[in-house]
Amino acid sequence: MFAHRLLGSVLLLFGSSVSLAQGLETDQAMLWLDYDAQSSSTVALVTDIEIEVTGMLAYSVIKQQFLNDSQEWAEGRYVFPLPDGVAVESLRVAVGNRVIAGEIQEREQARITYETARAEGRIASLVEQERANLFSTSIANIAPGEVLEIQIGFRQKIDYVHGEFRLRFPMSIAPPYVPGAALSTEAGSPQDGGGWSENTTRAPDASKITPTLVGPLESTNPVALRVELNSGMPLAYLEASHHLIDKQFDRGLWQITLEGPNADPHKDFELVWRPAVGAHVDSAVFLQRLADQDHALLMLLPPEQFVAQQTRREVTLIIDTSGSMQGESIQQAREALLFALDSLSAQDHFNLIEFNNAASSLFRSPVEASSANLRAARDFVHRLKADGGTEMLKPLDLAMQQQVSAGFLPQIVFVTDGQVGNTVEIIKHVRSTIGDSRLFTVGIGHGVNSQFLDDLARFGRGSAVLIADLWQVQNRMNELVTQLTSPVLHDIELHWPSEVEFLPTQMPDLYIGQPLLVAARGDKLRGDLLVTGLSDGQRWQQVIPLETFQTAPGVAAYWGRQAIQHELDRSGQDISPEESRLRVIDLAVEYQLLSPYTSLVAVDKTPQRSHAAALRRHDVPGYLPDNGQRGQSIMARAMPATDAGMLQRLLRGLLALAMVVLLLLHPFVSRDAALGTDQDTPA
Amino acid sequence: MIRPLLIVSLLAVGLWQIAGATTIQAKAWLGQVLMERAWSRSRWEDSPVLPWPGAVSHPIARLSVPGLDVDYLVLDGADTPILAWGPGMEVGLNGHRLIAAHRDTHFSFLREISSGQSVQLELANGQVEHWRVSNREIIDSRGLSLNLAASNQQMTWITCWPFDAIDSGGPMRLLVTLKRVPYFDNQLSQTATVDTTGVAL
Repeated sequence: MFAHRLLGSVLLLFGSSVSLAQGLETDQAMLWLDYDAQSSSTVALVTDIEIEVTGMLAYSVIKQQFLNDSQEWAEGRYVFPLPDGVAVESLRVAVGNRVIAGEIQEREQARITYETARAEGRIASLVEQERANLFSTSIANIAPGEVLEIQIGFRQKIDYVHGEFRLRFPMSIAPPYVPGAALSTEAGSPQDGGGWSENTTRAPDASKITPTLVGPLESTNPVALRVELNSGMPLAYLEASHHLIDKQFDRGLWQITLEGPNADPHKDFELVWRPAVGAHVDSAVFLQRLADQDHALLMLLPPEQFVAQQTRREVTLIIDTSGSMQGESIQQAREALLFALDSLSAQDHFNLIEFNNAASSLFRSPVEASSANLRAARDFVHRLKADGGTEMLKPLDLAMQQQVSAGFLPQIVFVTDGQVGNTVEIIKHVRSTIGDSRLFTVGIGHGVNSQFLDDLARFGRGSAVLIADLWQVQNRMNELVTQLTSPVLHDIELHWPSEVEFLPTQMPDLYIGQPLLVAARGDKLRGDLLVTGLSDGQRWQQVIPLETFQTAPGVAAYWGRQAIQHELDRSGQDISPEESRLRVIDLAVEYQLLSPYTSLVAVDKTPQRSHAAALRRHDVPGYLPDNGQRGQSIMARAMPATDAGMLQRLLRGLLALAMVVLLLLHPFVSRDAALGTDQDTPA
Repeated sequence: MIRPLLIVSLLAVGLWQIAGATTIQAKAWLGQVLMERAWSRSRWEDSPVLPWPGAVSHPIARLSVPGLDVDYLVLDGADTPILAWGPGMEVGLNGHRLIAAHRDTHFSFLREISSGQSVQLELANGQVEHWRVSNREIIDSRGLSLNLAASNQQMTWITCWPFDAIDSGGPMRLLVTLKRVPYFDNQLSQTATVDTTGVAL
């Protein structure tokens, strides 16, 4: 496995010596990386992202052009992030003027199809889902000097929170902390992802989610991005949070392009738009008819003004001070914590927990939010430094096991970048031990694992908020604090006019600023839907006429994606993992979607490469997030100089002293020599 | 006339070079002595304690090899100014520990170390980690860099190689890899640590 992994790490083959690599095929290979200051890569990649937004849904195509700059046939592999909850539905490979379409196959079968085609010399491509927001593409048999383009089509939902629409597109991946003992994985086996981490007991797929990454100073692979926005209403605000954009309004559509030729791929893309004053965002039904069934997406907006009631809260703030939080991230986290501390009122209780390799709390148990205690907490926050690992279960356990005082509402606010490999283990643990506590997550920085933090908040019946820049702290924390301090809409029930399937099956609690999103499927969705809920002991209800729908493509894919997630969540709970797997495969085939158990594979008809020609595999590096860390290349460190030069100095000194001795002896020596010379001359 | 001048200047250069060599040894020894105090004080204080005002680093761990009479305080960071005073440690993202030291001072004992040797690393919080040497390897540092993202179950020691090289600043490095040993494996060496510490004090 190591030889193979090493080959994977030899991305920068130009100039870097293969002979060296061969000399290193030992047990130790994972401890160091081959690197080349020139960063000239053999297989280069150009990424082009096109996003079309219609109302609440977006359809996007990501185009990846692989350029083989070597004299040999090449196979490229690339691991990249996609937005949370995407439904990936198509794969096309463009070879010159031809297009090869991909199809959904069961994951193992797809891999066999791909590997067979690769061996036969055909152009083939495979897209696999490593995590819900992390995917990989492989493309085989790129001829020397040729360009192959992969086009992946996917759908996503637009977030509508606190009165604004947000479209997020992640560009970078932060290297996660991988706990657990190494497992032995066979090289080239389906379990071996070729990443810098080995698979471990606690993160059995770690090698698949740890691609090599490059920082802002070394990246050469450009990314372009374009958005076409059909908002359906006049806008008061339209901006990207971390990139400069050009926007043009033409015939009801906004065309958004990045200023300058390429995007900064080390910062995540976020587009935010707000309706103009007077324009009304209302509850809405989106419908798509597919295979004789109605698929619907319902967005319900709860009343904006709940009657506020003072609830006494017991707030536990958890702060991640692991090494990945270094740089601007820890500053953002500090600001966020101080904001949360300021929001506490005198009758609330609170505690602070810090963690990296170990977790420690400021107070033994939650204390009153008195001015003295708050001062101690602020001092604690100011002293925080980021260093070490990310043992995430420890602080969560510490927080969840605290004794809750009677009459208090326990809330946990978890501030982290979510960079861990053992997300599955953590979510499983939180699900089973969360109890009455509510878990709110604050995601920090670019490259944050937002899917994971979303899932944590979902199972913790809280909400998730993302902060990627210092200037966002104020706004986003304000949203969170409003949610923490306002009563929720709970016990939400849906009363349908006819028999329908709907998701989620258990309605979540609704916090201020959040819409309720329901996906539904039925023979014919007609009549009125009645939604009821309780807030502060008061009954709330709303009627949604299903007849007044807007048709929207992508609703069926949304349903399919939600149904797959639902079956995955049930795995190991009320159905067995195997049963869950089979159900997911059925759904994925029915809706033609990528899933953990299904992949997209495309194979060309005619072989291109002859059997005699060799094929070399190249892993194309991804992008590190730019969170203002000191050293951008946190993956690698140059070898330190480890010579004090003592022997050299000692010898030099002794040599000088020896010469002094020689010089002192010189008169005697030279006389002898002079005598000798005299004798010799006559001859 | 030239000869006395030559003798004096060569004498000066010779003594200066030998003094330099002695200073290296003296710094390596003195650094450890001065840090001992900072180390014991850092046990009681939250923030890192600098061994002397203006010091480039502070001790973060104690490295001992029972059997080889090795007991060093390890400093934070592995840059050249730090390594003059003691072995320097950097910790990667996943807890991979990297300790560097000079081949002619603190890491001269790596010449004798062999696979299977057990090693203790005591951290600032009092926790003692047990490690075992698993591999030695000589590599060329020109084309390679250290992977700071490797697992926390591994530790790498690095020093210059060969040990007897007269020139300094060569490209070759000796890498010694250690693997973490669970505590219960190691009851015997646990008592050994107590002994060595006793000797050192």
